[in-house]
Amino acid sequence: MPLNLKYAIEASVFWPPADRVVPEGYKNQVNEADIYKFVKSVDGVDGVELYYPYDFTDIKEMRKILTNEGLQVSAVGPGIWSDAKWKNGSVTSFDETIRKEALDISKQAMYAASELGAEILTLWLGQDGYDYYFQTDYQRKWDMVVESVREIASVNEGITVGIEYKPKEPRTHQIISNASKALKLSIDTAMENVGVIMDIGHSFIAEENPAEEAVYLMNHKRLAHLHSNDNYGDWDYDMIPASVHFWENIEIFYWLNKLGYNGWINFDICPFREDSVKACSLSIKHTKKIVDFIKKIDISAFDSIMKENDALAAQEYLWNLLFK
Amino acid sequence: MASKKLKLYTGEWSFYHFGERFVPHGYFNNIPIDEQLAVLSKIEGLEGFGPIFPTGTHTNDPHNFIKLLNNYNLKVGPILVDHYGDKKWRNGSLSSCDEKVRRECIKLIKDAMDYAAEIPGSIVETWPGQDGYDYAFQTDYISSWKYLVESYQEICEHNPKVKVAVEFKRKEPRQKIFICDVGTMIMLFQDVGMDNLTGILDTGHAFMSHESLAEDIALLDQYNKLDIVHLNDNYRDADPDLIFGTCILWENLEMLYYLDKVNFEGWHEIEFGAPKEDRIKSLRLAVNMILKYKELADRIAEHSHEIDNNLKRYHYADNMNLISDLIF
Repeated sequence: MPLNLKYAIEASVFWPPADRVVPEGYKNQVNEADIYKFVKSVDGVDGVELYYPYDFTDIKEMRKILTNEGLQVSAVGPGIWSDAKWKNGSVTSFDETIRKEALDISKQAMYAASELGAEILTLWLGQDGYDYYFQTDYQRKWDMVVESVREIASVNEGITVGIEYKPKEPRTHQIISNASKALKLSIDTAMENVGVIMDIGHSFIAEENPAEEAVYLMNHKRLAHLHSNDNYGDWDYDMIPASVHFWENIEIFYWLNKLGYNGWINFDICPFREDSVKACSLSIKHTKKIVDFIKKIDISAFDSIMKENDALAAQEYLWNLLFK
Repeated sequence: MASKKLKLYTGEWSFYHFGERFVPHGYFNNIPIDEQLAVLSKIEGLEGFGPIFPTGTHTNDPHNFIKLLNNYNLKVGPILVDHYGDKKWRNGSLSSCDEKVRRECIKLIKDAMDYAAEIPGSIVETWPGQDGYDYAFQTDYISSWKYLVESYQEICEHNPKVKVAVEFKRKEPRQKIFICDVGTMIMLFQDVGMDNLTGILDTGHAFMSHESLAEDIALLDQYNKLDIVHLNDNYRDADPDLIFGTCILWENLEMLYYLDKVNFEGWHEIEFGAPKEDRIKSLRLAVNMILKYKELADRIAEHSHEIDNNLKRYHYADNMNLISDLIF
């Protein structure tokens, strides 16, 4: 089955983009009621990705808004990172009260996902990590994260819990930092409905080649979902896809097509200074151009080139096809 | 020869709420200025407090500010100009293509110089953190550099008796900041050509630019362009402003050895971000760490003649044997 992509925009794209230098944000706050109108106005969009309870708390109301705008939901994530109370972790906090609260929110997000027709839970454990050497007990953290993900996934086996990995920020070190650790975590849970979310930008920061990691994840049937954005390989700036890494993006979509990825791609971008709707439209446009391009590649011809490990022939083939 | 005492200060940043993009409102509540100063006055080894101009909690009258700090036995440290922390600077401040924005920034820094002129020995800090770009094909490098140079010339000419310091940093908040490393900063000094323009070495920024701190000190000292050192630490990839000395040992130690070697007499800022830790405990730890490293550097400095001889002969192993025996 060839690549079948549905395009989503994360609602948080329309939150005021702040950083530690300008915590009030570089743009004015968009009226919350208008966010979904803005999402719908993005060229080529099919759906929206949401965080519970940051984007919504009332499921019925949310469903009504989505129906009115004609938007599907790609995934729902538990909001267990954007508050000082999570500063020492969420589902791996050593404080039992905090951990329970994180698990409860995650289970509520599972329910919300199912009610809104989403099949994926976006579990990003951004505060679960450490900043200094000698600060945390790595063994205990790992046991807790496996146990927590099992507990969340057991709530509804019809929803896939996607573990979104990222090496750093807001912690200097996050425990689920790369594709292999996320894959190990999903296997350690021994649950079929646990998978990995590859955020292509996070993969660059982890110094991975996203195509290679996507192949391993798909071989294990654990690639649950995709987030797309770009950066310079050193920080998660959430830039417009393929604005920095060109060939890496071509290669990952080649393999997604070859192995038949059938699912969502969510644009998790952060246009600090740019017009958000234009930035999202450009993100989808770039991606569609890449998809159109890789579909022109003759897979059997390209397989023969790769069997020979012939990097020069591969380059020649691609350049001739791209810049003819 | 006894080594010099470090002139340590900290700024309002130590008491910040540490908001970031995932927790924009931060991890802490604000602490009133009097409480901040009371805490600082009780930390042995800290001499000064650096205000932020004009958004910080300094008083409008510099003489009153001196009096306020005197009450806590503190001196006025470098005055940091906030020309980065508002969305109006989002496309740059001193290098902005928008002349109105550029003029507003130049005026702001001149106002800070007027304030500093009333405080003996004071110095103005600038950090052109928003002056840069994020994407290829986003900016005109030629005109941006020209504006940056012209802006600093005008600022420095405003009062040649007041020193204006520049802080380099590779990235954040822009993905690419123009004044990104020590070499580019020295190029700026040469293009501007004013004696009162000087440099800041932020140790964390230098690590992010994959530089060696001691080498930076040696270079800046050759041009007589080092007036302030900011002390923090990181994993060489980003700028979390971790407590000095908690990540990288050798380069931090070598830096303190070189500061002594070049007879540095300027301010050392204790700069750290403590979103997850108690801020006051972090500050105390930072002072302790710096003083402990300084003690080690002083031990090494007593053997500087032998160390210099080993350097001349490229006898690295001999130096490391000597140094590790001295400190462990």
